Amino acid sequence: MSSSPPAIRSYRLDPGAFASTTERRLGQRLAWVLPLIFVLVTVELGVMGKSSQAFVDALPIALPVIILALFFGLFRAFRIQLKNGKPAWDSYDLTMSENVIRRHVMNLPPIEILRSEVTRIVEVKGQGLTVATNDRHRFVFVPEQVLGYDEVRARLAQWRTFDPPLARNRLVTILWTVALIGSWIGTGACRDIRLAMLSGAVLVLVGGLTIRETLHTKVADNRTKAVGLGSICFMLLAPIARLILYFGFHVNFGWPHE
Amino acid sequence: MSEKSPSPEDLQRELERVRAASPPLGASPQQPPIRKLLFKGLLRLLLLWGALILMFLAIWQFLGPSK
Repeated sequence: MSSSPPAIRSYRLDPGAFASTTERRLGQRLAWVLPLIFVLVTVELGVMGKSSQAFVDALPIALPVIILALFFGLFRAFRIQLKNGKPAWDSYDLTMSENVIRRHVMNLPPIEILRSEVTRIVEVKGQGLTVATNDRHRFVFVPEQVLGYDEVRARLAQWRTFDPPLARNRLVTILWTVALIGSWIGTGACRDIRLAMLSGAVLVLVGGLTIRETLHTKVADNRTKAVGLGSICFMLLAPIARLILYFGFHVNFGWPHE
Repeated sequence: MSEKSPSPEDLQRELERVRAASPPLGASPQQPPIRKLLFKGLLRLLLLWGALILMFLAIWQFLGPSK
């Protein structure tokens, strides 16, 4: 054996960059979540207000409660992210050799990828590199906050040329979100019970697939998965609630108003 | 790339070395199974909604008739 063993190096995340990175990511998320919530709440209130005078009468009470609940939820999510994200940030470990990349974070299964398995390396300026394989759940993300990022980048550049992010992926995410939230609103806001149930069927399909994807993902710990699954389970209650109201209590509402 | 690709045995050995070089994470608290977390979360959500509905009903009872 004349060849020397390949150089193996471990890389960690910059501990000082946690707060600023988390705040920036949350800010980016809020930039599209807040307008989306605003539009959804406005549509929902508009539809409900058109179909029920009692609802309009209750708005002076309901609106402050909705706004308060919204801000409380966002504030809490912000705090939890800052508090719980730090141990995971500190535990991030990326180990690389000539032909292997391994990422290890607490509470997550380690991901090991061989150079021959890499199908794409996507670079997003300001975020980092994603080393992808044929299995969409098996990838390694290397954030720019890794100490020695330039070295990792140079090593990965020898594996294969970097690709720009696919616009298709972003489009799929947007369409998926619209389908999930749209069918949820449709279930509650369509006056015609058949249309509402059609919307409910779409909701069950999209929600079921989202649950399947959430259970398979390797980038979220059990706690994060449980929050996501809980939210979807809550949304899936909409068709059941609508049926109970319609057939059990003969209550119907929604758009278009008769 | 003109490099000779390593044999599966060499790759396996390299993988073992990478695993060995990966520093241990230390004693991280073990998370409960997802089903338990989900059950607790949904129970809390149900309680929260119950409390909200009761609050609305109570406010409605006081303010509704005075319209």
